Amino acid sequence: MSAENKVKVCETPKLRSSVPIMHCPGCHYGIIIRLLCENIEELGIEDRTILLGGVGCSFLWPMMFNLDTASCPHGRAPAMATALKRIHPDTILITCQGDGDLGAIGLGCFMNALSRGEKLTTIFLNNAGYGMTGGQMAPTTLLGQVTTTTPGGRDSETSGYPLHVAELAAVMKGVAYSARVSVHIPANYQRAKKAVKVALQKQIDGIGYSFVEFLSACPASWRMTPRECLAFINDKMIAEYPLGEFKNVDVIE
Amino acid sequence: MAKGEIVINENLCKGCGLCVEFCSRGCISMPEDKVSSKGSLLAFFVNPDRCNGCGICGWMCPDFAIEVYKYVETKKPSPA
Amino acid sequence: MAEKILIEGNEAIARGAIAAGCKYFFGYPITPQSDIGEYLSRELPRIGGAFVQSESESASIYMLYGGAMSGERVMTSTAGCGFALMGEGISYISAAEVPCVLVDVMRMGPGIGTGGCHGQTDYRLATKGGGHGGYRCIVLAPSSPQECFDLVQLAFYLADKYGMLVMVLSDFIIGRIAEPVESRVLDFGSVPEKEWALKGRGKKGGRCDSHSGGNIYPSHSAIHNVTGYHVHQREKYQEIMDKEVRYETYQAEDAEFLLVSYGSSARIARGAVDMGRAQGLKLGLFRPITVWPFPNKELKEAALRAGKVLVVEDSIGEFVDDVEFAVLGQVPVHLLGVWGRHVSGLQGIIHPERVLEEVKSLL
Repeated sequence: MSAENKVKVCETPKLRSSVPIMHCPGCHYGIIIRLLCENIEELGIEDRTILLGGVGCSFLWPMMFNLDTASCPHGRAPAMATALKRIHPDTILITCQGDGDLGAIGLGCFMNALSRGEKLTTIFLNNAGYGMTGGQMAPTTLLGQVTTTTPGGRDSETSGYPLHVAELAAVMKGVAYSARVSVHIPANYQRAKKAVKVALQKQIDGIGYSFVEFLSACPASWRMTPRECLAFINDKMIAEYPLGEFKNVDVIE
Repeated sequence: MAKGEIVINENLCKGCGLCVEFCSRGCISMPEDKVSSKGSLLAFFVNPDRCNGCGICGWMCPDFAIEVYKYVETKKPSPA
Repeated sequence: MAEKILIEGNEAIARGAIAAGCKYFFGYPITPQSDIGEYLSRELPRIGGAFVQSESESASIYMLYGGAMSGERVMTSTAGCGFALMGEGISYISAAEVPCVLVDVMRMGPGIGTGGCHGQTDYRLATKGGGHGGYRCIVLAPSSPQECFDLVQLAFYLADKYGMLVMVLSDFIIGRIAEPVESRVLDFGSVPEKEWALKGRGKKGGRCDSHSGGNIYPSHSAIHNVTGYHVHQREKYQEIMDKEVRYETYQAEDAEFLLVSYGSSARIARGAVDMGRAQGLKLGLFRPITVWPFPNKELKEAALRAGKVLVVEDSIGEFVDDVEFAVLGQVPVHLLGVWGRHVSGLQGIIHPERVLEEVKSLL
């Protein structure tokens, strides 16, 4: 073995555009973007994929890919994806949405797209708060979690309970796949990549809606270092939001 | 004996420290006295002999700032 | 020779969309236009298209937006409060400059309990904008089922030509009147290629497009700064105002009293012109067909010639504001609105006799 003969085992995917990752240091979105690029390339669907971002930090996602993309108004990506998929059924539509986009303002759009059994894939970015706007409470904020709009910690009496979207998606008949993953440790990157690959394959095979929820770090809103964020996900978030597959079917009867 | 190496792009590195956290071989360090032109800390490849080219730092870097190489055996021609 | 069929205005809109090559419709039921969607739910799958009933108008407009990015001709239709839910989406579509058609079949507003009542109370929302930010939409106002059929086709053409949302502003009465319609496919000329359409880069030789509905990040018009973007929009709207005005006059050349009206009210006003002329009164009618761009210049000329104007509209006064703006105080403008209906219940309607009575009181 020598330094003269070396192979690159990790490089920037071709699907990545030249726009640098504009998210905060220690945000996990770049990691998720990598595994999404790798999956799209490995599945050979880059020429027919259309990626839609939401509002918030996911607004920046369309710029990160060498694909046909669009940023959608807040919460509306599933509606826009529905139209594009019905018009171009041979495309692979991926929506990438955050806590507020999908869990608050967009919950109606999302649930109705599941109800219609659209053949789409949604990547849900759960970082338990609203990042872009400075750290307000999200539907996924944990009880007791301090945010700029829950300064005393989230109290169920006034602000309800954390929203479990992966479990919610799993009860819908038109859903072929629902899973929750994280990328806060290297082994989970591979598990998450596999889950997204399964999800995309469900759309390629035309089975039904596929959904992957990512637990992701937000150092800026959580007011933590990137390392502290890893512990928050490991110790607190996973206790509320267990990782795993909630639904995986190959046929929807 | 090094089995691989990494190259860190200091224009993309934001000093988040995740690579330092995930490298199990102690090959990456983020000294507190080195600041990039953008005002953040920078990650540096240190202890190159210990690198095994596993690739973890590369795929876990949120900024695509790290390329990872693995060394391969040079094939010698078999004797005639 | 195109087929002549006896159909209602709403069906004429649906058929006109298909004649224009529209194969995709996204909409939500609301009286009095649900039959547009119902017709298309039967016909579009038959021609290889798609009908999607959304969960609400707030979803329909975003389906329309997504569909508009696909490069295909797409349409939605709604009424009253459903139209109000679409405001934000119209703003995004206008910012992204993607073509599509929105049909509003007006009913009486404000509020909800008016599904069974005709009216012309979405005029301001349609022409002045219910969405945020400075944008314009071309608004076409049919006055008959034939015009419904024709103007929907024109709407798709103008949408493609200028890259924008074009509205067809119909109303309950027009939607439900049945008249003979010549179902001819109209050819308005060529439209620009849509190389920016989202369909997967493989179908575009590797070209990637990105749309964002904002004037900060790139839209397909490739203008990436705030000032440049707005200057471009203003120039576009000026070109439309210079080139796309449409209107109709009836006996207005020698009129000494001008009725100004649009949509279903124009039919009533026209009846009043006939009645008045039979009694020796020199009445005339000016009927805008584009209510944006409004025929300011042409209306002012006709109004100055006549010297007196009566606006007839089934509202408390929305369209009349544009008429007053057009004549700039140089001609007195009177209004016969909702109070001109013959009874105060839902079935009240302004009759031509009542219009004539109003004219006589102003002479």
